[in-house]
Amino acid sequence: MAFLSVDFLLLLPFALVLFHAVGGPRGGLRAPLLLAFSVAFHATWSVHYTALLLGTSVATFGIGKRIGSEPQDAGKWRWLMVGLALLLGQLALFKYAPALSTPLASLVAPLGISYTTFKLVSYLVDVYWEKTEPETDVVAFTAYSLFFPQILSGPIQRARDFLPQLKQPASPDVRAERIVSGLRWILFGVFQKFVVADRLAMLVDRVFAAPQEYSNLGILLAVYAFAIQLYSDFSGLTNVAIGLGLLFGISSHANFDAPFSSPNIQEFWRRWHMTLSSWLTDYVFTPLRMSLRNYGDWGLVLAVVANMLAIGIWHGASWTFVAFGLINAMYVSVSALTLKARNRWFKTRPLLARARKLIDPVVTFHMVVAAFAVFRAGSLTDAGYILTHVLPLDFLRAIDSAGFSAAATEALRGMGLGFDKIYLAIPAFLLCETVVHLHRSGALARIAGRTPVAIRWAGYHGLILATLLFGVLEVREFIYAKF
Amino acid sequence: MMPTAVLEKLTAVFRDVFDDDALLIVAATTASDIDDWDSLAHVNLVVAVEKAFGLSFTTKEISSLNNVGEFVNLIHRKMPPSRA
Repeated sequence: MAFLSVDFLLLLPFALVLFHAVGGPRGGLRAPLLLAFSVAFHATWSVHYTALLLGTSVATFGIGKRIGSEPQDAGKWRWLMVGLALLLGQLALFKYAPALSTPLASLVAPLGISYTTFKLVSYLVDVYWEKTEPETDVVAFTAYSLFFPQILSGPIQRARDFLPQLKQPASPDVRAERIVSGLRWILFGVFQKFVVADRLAMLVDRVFAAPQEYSNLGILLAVYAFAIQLYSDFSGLTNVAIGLGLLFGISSHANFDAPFSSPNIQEFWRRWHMTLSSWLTDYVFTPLRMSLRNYGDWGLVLAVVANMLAIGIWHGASWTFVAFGLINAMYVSVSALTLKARNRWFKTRPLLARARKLIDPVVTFHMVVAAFAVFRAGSLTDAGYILTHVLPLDFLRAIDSAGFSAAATEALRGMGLGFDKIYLAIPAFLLCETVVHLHRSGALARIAGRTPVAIRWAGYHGLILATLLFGVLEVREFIYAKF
Repeated sequence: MMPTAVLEKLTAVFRDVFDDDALLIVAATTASDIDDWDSLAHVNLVVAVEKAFGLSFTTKEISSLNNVGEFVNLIHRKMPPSRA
């Protein structure tokens, strides 16, 4: 069952009414009910895999208790290693075995295995680091690890953030507020997905399938379009997930924080897929960097390379993902090692420093766009072709003779895509970015607070109508649901 | 060394690492209070603190810290009695 399918939307209200009706001290029957919903959601994809994820969660619960009860650090460490070997071994088997071994080629990764694994690994390490107490309620714990809104693409919520919210539900007022806020997040996410992402997908899919068949300008448009498509699709999906969580009274961290206006690449990674970035920082980068701390800058570079390669190959066994990881490792290492010197240099040049504030986000955005082109390309050969054909001469000639928008329209028409089909995504994307920035600065809440209810509701209806009118409503899988 | 003296010495290390001579830290200060205090700067800070105080920390000790106050307590706890 998919999030935006008719079945799901019909069942959701019943689940919600039931969930909010069974309150009581310590959450009453909420945890078992939530677990039942999640099991049912997983089971619509595969009963066997649901049993596997349930088994893994219960085993992790048991190992967490053992880590907590071992008197010596050596014993705790041993159990942590047992748990990590189980979780990461299972993830690696499903993600890489089909690509690397012919007899296992038909193996399909269970839905949500990545995000369940991330949650369970963070739980075991946190118990070992004594950041969290071992959980004593197996039902609540399993409801956490299988929580259905978060299984497709996060946010990766930590157990210590999730479990108290499940066990001590907020007051009815706060819960009512969360439901309203959840509906807003869902509406916004759906708009991002259908109006921006899926519209751009028409252009992106065509060009990336056979870049050699398109003009340089067509490739250039597709490369930009993919960055915006990926962002809108992925943040749309996690916004729907955050909204669904809120409907069930669970508040979680945001997953994106206007990443395309980041002034440098390190900050981009802190504002893109934030819950995975912070997971990697806590459990991969910092431990590695700590063990390599006496190797100076080389230790830093090595830790960055390992971290970025992990991000790359987590997406799958493909050389384009390896290249994506290495490109970002190079970006981050160079940027991190030169940042202090750059800051000092600009400190004494106030005029240039002001220009830098405008130029840095543009440069960072283009670095990201180039890396994403490699990520999306069908092969390294295609990636090479795309990156060497985005800017050369026919593009400049076309602009020179016809003006950019006429040339771009011509390029789109060559693909059988009209101006109206693709360009609608641009105002829609700008609208989304405006909302994101207003939300970020706190102005959105202030404006909403001053706006009469009737106008606010007109706005929501406008957004729903716009999604129905301008959205590409063939159900297209979210890009990140497959990772 | 008293915790207040540890905090004083720690402040000097922070100022050096973050290149800010006016930086003030208190027990409740966290990474989100200082702009440049990201995961990259964090380990540089740990290395600088290890050097300044002649100590060595484990990943577990560093990962369980939540604010400057806990860092001060950790340093205080790990100092040999003759210097504490």
